Amino acid sequence: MVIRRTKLNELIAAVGSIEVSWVNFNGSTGVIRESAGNIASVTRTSSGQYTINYTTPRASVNYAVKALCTATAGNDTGFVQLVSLTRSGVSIQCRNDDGGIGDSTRVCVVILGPDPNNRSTALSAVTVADRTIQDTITVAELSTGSARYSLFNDGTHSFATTLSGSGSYGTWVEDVTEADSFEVRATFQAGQVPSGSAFGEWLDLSLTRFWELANSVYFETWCTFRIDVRDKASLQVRGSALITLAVQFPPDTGGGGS
Amino acid sequence: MAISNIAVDGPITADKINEIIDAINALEISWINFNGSGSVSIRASVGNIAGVTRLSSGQYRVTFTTARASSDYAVVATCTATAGNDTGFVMLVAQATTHCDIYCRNDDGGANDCSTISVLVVGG
Repeated sequence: MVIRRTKLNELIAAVGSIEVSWVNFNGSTGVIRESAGNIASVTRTSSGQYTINYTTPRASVNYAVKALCTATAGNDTGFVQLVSLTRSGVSIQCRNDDGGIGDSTRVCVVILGPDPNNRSTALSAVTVADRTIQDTITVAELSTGSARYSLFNDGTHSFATTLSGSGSYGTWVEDVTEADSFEVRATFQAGQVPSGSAFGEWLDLSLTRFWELANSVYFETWCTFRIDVRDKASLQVRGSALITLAVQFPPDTGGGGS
Repeated sequence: MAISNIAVDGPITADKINEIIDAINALEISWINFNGSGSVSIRASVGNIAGVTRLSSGQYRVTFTTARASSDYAVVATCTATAGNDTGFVMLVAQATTHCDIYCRNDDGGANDCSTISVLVVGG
């Protein structure tokens, strides 16, 4: 029996969808004793009032929070009241049966997903490799020929050359339904600047993006640029590659000379 | 590492499988639903829960089957209205590696039994 990578990532996604984050902190100081999951820090905004900050912003505010605390300072009761939920954190207050707000020595908070922001980091392994795309033209075909690299919104990427042929590099994302969850940035490195999509900015991959080097002059031309593909929600770069485009003449095999 | 941050984007290795198993185990979720009135009885529980003891009126100790690595896990709980009152909330009293103590209180500050108490323990 073969264990497929996609199946394994499905398993990770299923378990990951439980999305449990939790923190146990000292309410007198806000210092975290222990935590797990998407917890960055706790801020004690004032006495008995705290904001739990997330490492990665959640995709929505529609998650569940449950919390428990010890008795608040100067009182023999304590319970937690929810104040607000945002994508970046949750604010709570520790209150007592008199309605007062006070620090609790122990505050426990459990946050339950789902959080689609983490989905793409578990699924859809990006497999972008370095590529060299070359078009070779003959002397008779001077000024024609181009080399193009494309990332498509169906999750595939490919090369296309005017004279030397074209082909697919397969898929750059395992789950094509997640293709529009990614974006690409091209960074120009050397040679002649190609035409097509922009450089230096993150481009949504819900649209096809391409970079093309056309030989519009009578000499060899080339360029190199780097592409980075990242998950839009988590901003994690999932794949990078160096792309070389070249339009070449065949070697000089005869003629000329003295 | 959180399970959601694991991605298999290369060869499937034993290390990668173990990383996934470790992440699943790290979730460490246990829960219990019990009747806190009179003679305490567990309705259902999952994970590292050995039992529950009623220390006194509205005061309960949830014990763990296996001692936790630390006492700094997260415990949250909810209860029905306490006996003789129309409100009820759970207060944390103490955490140890072997158990946690909770009180069911009402808006007068009194501790009273609750008919249904749910406790969720994560981590540790």
